[in-house]
Amino acid sequence: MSGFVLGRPRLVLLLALLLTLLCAAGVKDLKFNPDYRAFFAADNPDLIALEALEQRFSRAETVVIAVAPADGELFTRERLEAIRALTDAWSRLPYAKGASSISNYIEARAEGDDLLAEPLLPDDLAQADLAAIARRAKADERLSGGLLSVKGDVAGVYLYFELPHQNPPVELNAVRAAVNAEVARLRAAHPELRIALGGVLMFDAALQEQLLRDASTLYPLCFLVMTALLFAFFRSGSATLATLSAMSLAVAATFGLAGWAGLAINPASLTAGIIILTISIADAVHLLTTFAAERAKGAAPRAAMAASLRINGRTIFLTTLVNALGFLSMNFSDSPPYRDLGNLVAIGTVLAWLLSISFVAAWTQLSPPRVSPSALRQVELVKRFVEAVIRQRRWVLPLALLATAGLSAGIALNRFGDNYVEYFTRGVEFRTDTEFINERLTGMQFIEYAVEAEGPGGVFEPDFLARIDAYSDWLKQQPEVRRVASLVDIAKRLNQAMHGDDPAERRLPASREEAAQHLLFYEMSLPSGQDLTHIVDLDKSAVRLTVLLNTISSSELEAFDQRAQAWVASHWPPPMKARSSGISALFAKIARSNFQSMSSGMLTACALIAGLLIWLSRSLKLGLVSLLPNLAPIAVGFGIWGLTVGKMGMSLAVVASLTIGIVVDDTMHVFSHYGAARRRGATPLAALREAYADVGAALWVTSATLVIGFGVLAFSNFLLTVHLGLLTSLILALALIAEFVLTPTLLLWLDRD
Amino acid sequence: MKPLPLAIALLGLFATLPARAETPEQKGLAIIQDAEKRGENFGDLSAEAQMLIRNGRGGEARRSLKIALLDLPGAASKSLTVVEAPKDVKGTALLTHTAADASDQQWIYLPAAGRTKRIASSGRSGPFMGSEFSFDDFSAQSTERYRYKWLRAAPCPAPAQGERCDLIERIPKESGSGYARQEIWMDQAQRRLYQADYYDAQNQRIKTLTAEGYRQYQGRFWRADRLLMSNARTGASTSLEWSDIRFGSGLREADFDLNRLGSAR
Repeated sequence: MSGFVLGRPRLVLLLALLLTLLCAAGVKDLKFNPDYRAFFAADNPDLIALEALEQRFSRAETVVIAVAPADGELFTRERLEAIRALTDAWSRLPYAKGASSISNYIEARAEGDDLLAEPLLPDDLAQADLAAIARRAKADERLSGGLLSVKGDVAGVYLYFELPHQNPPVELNAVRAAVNAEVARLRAAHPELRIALGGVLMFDAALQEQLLRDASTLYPLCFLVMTALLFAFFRSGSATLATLSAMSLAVAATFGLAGWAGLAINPASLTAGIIILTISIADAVHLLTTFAAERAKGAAPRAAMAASLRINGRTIFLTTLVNALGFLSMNFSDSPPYRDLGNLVAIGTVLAWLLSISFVAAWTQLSPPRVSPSALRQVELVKRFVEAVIRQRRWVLPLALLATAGLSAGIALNRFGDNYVEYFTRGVEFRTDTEFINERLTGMQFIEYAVEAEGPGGVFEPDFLARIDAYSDWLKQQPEVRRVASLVDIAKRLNQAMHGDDPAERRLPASREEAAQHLLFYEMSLPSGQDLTHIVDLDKSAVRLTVLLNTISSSELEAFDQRAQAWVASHWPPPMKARSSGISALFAKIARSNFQSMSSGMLTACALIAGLLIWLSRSLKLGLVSLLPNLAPIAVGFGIWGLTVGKMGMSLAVVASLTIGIVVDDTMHVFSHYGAARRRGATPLAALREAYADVGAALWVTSATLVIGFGVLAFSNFLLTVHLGLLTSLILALALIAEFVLTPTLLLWLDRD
Repeated sequence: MKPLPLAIALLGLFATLPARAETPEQKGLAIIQDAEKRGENFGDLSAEAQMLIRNGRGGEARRSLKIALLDLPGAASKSLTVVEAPKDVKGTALLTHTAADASDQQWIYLPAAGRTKRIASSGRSGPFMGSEFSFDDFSAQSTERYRYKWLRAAPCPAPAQGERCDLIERIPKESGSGYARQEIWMDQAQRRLYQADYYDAQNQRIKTLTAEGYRQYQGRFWRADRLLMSNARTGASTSLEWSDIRFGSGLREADFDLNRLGSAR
């Protein structure tokens, strides 16, 4: 193999190029999926429950537009007309099926002895008594904290869409462009209005925007940084170019294969390219470092590369295998984009390895990189550091172990802290706007409860309504809850209006027929684009309560849900249940379940890696103990995270699996050189010195590359990616320290003649 | 085949042109007025309707209604719709007075409370009892509310295969109907509506109404047995089957009086 590569370098280069380009051609079929549902597997029970619910009730694809006048006065003719124009614009928007706001709100009230269900705003506002309308609107409980802020100074326009989901990015762009055009028109006419956009569709749009932004900023940045690093190390244009070309080909081929396989990329799996780029550089660095050392000893290019392949071949194959194993264990994740990420990175590292031993090796024959003396100086530096550690090992080891144990304790401080609004960094418009809406208009976190009644029309049964009412009352008293919307509010309001607005009649109707007929009357009055399918299903056999919450973390949301379920269990007869659902609930549950499933992934990867280390060191004791410098950085990393950030989103669940394979690389390089020296009869101390002299410099460089490469992810605006990058960087930096502090001291302590 | 001499070809072309120059708008309106004229002066009509509502995601619901209609001079009419099922709302009745100037009024009678209430006009374009139909869709529609334009003549759609149809554009004069325009297919022979496509402002089809099973009553009036409204976006659909269609059963204006709404059966 090495004979062919080094003997026919031109042919090898050409073949490698052709094959990778063939794979890369699949990029044309690569799809992007901005739908937040992509974060959930098709068989995710919570997603199934959500979709089952959406079959009964309407699907919540909404855009929420908050309209806030600077002076707080909403009820002027011009501003109400502006809100009306924005609301009525729904019929011009693509895939829109309706809209609601105070401008088309149907108010139920009594006038004298007569019951009215009429628009709150009359057609002709010039003749209307706006002060009276403002008074009624501010007093209307069904508006408060929804279509109108509690203070009555911010209005909400809710646009409802039903996307065909045939081509999500195109559909989403069409919706967003049309909504933005309407908003721009409103802003131009009313510069005094603060307008903020939120809702599920805007969340998807923000995901899509970050995806494009990450693709167009993070990738070039990563390239730039890698080029600089490689050049600083090699001081050779040829070596830098060879490595970068090979890695870019690996990334292109990986995404090409993803395209051929019909994968849809989302912001989480998009980071695969950057990770591949970062990780795979190690193979080429090891090959080229040895190549340079051999050249410095006076070897010809062919002999130097042959030696490098002989010395490093087995180790870089094994490290690639271990990396891939770690990444493949991400398949234990509950969230498909993170499974995709693991698979893509695994494929990419294998491709990068193949390209290193073919493409890069062949390249050195055609354009042999010049040896850089700086690389050798770094070896000296590394040697001196290792010597110092060895001299002071009696107190270095206990201290290092103590620090590991102490910092690892910080793990307990981590909390599941996902909140879909905070998936974006501060400064991203979606987050700013959503926080504004959350503060001024309505809760943007919500949980939905569906409750089944007995048969068609069963929701009108007085007993059933009374139970829902009690539940709704209890929910409203909870500290996390801002607002509860359900059928009982309308039912009570209608009953009161039916009885001359007598406050004593603000109660549920006495009979099933009354409840049904009142509601039919109300439904008959609703204009086109509005219906009640979000609170009651088609044959009136189930209701849905929407509970708007304060901004709380996913673990708090889970705790709230458990309390709510406990209330149901102790107050309702057994068959009656309240199934929870909604985007917030979904993300809350996946944060925890992802950690649980990834723990088994991590354990599997650990077991495989331990086996490999035992085999490599030919010693059960050494193999097991050498796990320590690899697990310690991960434990300490999560510990420091707990002490500093403390919030763990779902992306961090994969960090352990992502890093274990990479971290173990260093140990394997040290072990393979150490083992070889020991077999030649060297003492542990001599073998250790030799091993670090061989690979020490390469470890510094590859680790620096990794730390900086993952650090690039911190420049994303997608917080899941930022956190993933930061924690991985931290762990890899810790791993380098462990490799120079824990590994040598442990080896000297345990491996005695 | 020998080519026709140019003069003769031109003569043939002129012969196909209408005698008077007529704009597509005029032609469209003329066809609609013709259709309206053919349906005029039917006196009264009563029928039963069964609605099957599908939400496109597996959910189904049924409604059953009794409908009576009284034709009045001019373009005015009065209608009474009584709900038979679901049973919780049985006996609920809707009374609609349509005037020529489109100043319609609508009331609802709620049997449980024994009271009659007026309904806001906005409600007639909204969904009727959860169906894909609005009240306007299946009740008498006033010609005045739309602008018309004849688009072209074409073979009729499926239920009337083999016949020739006119395709006419119908644009609502007032907004708030939930669609920007309709394209309706009417057969040229009897001016029966076979299909109506509803489009939004982006010119995407949102709903389609098809009518089939046309039967002639009293040797004059054509009525379809079945209407189907399907929503192209959501996959939801509602079928409306007419039965027991009766013309001239002697209904009078008093039967459509607001004060007698409670005793309507």
